[in-house]
Amino acid sequence: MSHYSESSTPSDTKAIPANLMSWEYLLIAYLAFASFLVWYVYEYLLIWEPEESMWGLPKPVVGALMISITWIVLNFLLFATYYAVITKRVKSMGSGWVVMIE
Amino acid sequence: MGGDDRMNINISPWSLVVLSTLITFFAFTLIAGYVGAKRTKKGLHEFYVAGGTLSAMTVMFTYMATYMEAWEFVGMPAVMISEGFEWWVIEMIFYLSFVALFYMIGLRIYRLGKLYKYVTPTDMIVHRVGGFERLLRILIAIMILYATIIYIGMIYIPAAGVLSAATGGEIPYHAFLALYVIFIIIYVSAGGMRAVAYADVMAGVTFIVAFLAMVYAAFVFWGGFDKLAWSAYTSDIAPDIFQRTQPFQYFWTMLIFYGISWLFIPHLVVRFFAAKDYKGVIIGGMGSNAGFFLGAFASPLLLGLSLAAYYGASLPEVEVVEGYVPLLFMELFGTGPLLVLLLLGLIAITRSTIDSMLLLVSSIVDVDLIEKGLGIKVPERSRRLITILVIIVVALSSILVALAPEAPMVIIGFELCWPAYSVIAWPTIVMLFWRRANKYGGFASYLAGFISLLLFTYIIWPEAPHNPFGLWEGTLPTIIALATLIIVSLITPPPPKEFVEEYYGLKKQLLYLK
Repeated sequence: MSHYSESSTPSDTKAIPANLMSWEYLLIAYLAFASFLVWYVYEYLLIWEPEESMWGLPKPVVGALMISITWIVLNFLLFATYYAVITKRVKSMGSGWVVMIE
Repeated sequence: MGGDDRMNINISPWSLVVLSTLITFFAFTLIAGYVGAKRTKKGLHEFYVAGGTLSAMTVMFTYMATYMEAWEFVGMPAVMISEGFEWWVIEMIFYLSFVALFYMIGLRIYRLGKLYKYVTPTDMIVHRVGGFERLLRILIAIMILYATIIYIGMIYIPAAGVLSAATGGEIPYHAFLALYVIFIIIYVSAGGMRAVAYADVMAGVTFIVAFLAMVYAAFVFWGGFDKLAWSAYTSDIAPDIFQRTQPFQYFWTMLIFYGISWLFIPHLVVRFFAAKDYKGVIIGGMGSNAGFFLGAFASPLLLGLSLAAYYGASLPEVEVVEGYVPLLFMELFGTGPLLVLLLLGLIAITRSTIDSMLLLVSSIVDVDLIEKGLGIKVPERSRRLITILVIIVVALSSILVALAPEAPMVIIGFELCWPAYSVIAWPTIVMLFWRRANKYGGFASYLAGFISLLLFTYIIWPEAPHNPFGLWEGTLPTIIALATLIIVSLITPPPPKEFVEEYYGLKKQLLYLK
């Protein structure tokens, strides 16, 4: 793979770990929660019951709302987390001591 | 085109407006392409991934434009009314896993892209596999070509269907299909990635304006979201469309296999390569995911409910079901400037994904297949010509999918297109983190996954979902690919220690001291 080169590589690549950071394993737990949410919506909300409502809306619409609100909230939460973590790592590289251990 | 499809001089003024809208939009994007081409420096890295210099804001719009396509804006409302509300809920489910892992995977892909100056997604795959480079490049190129030709053809359907429906069928579907493909070919040939990125910004802005107009209309005509929802839910078509028909395992496998496979969709991966820095990935991802909330959630929901509430079971005659959307707009707004604006948005979103995918395909054929796969050396000056030829061939091949579609675009995508992406994505994502994966396991996984996909889809279980277990169509081939990766890697020698240490950042461990 001689055509790949490491010249002019942005410094932020060193701040992004190749492996998972310990807290990122929480995302696997989140996927378990997401599976439960999907099951709940599938089982209880994705049905035609015009005489029933939830939050003043038809049940299938509420199910879609539940799912969508979950991922949009998660989006902002993860954005803030990753932005803070990676920015901190980039700054610490720029201002602190860097020791290379071969 | 047959004699029946010929345009004649009795075409109505409104149909001419629709036609002019298409031509005007492409004229503007051609200018963007020309400007982009002027500013594009020489070299593959610049041409295909804009030299890796796109800012966070541009990256955000390119992500949004990549996804906020006809699939969401036209395809989902149409499938809600033609196949059932559950198909759109399934799409919402995929975001649960896609958004959750977007930053985690995206940052790693960005990191590797910067470290090793990848041009195509296949560069990343063959680097990690670490062997059988030529064969692997050819195999991956075939897999991506297979999926992408279906994908592009699938998007042609609403692109032409929407415009034809807007003319009331006066200008035929096939005439718009031909015009559309010609414009796309000219446009993408002109500019490269940077031109696509600039035009995507235009598409994003147009889409937002069109979306706001639609929200306004929905509230004015229906008197509020809750009233719209109940009108749809109590319409005469509601008992048919607001019921689940797929088993739970189909929903769950969409969450896990389909959702996560989106993290290595080739035309997204090159956006990661094109980002200027990590902020481009993170801010761009956050903004585009927020945009999806409008484009993938709010917009299809409003439109789909409006279709159910307005038409009920008395759906209008259309050549393709995606034509319901412009017909609804015409019913609500009449023919006028607002409808032209909405059509502009529809044209923009159908176009932005197609052209970036054509560019991706050309890079894969040009770089992966011809130069590095088959080992044919092509001079830089001739390469541009080959690229243009590839774009034309792929754009024309994709027409086959759109000539006489038998299912809504969304169903075609779920059933035929994304299973192939899943077979590529899953082993690649696993190898991002699993050090023990070696070249034997890597190569065998893609091969086994793709062969099983073709066997299941076309020979063993030709009826959807192409398995007897009610799983999403891509599930079984993906599981086979992953099992092959693990088993073959474990029974063969591990990858070279030097490579593993370099790739996973183990050789130089950085200790940060404040």
